[in-house]
Amino acid sequence: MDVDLIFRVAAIGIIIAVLNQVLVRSGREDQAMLMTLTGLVVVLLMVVGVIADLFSTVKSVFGL
Amino acid sequence: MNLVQILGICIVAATVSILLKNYSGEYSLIVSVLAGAAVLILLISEIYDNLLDIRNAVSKYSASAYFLLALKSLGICVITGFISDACRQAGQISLASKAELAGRCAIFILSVPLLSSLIDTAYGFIK
Repeated sequence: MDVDLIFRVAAIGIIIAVLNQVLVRSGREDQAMLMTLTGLVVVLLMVVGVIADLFSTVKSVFGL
Repeated sequence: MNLVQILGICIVAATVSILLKNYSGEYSLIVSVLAGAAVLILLISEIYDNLLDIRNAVSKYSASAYFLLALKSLGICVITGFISDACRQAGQISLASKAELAGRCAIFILSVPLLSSLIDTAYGFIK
């Protein structure tokens, strides 16, 4: 369930790093910066979903 | 208990995290935190039924409140440990210790009624 999420995040990270280099080389540093930030926000939203799922599981199991 | 699956996730996430480290550091941290969360979810869903059985078995006795308190502090330890290790992985040693301090305070707040009942019983013996 979460294993493919790990590979999805890794793929997004590599793609964004490569696109960042492409944009920087073609002289658009600001767009590269914005693209990196948006990629990070997307990935963080996915991470927050998994952490919320983990916390609700722990809460239900341990009766917190 | 599919131990092999959990160990497989850990080793794969470790290698993917190292692979991402030279591309961009923040994704390597995110991969390791995700893998930790996946392993914890798998583990906790494994022990879910056993804990329910233990809780039903204990709830018949009068002192079951103290056992539930211990279970709650165990849950707090699990979450606090997960988050403080993630902070330490990110290189933020002080944030990790702050998370652990918050966990200790939460457990202390949980155990205050226990301490007060202990004092009452002790005073009862002395009198």
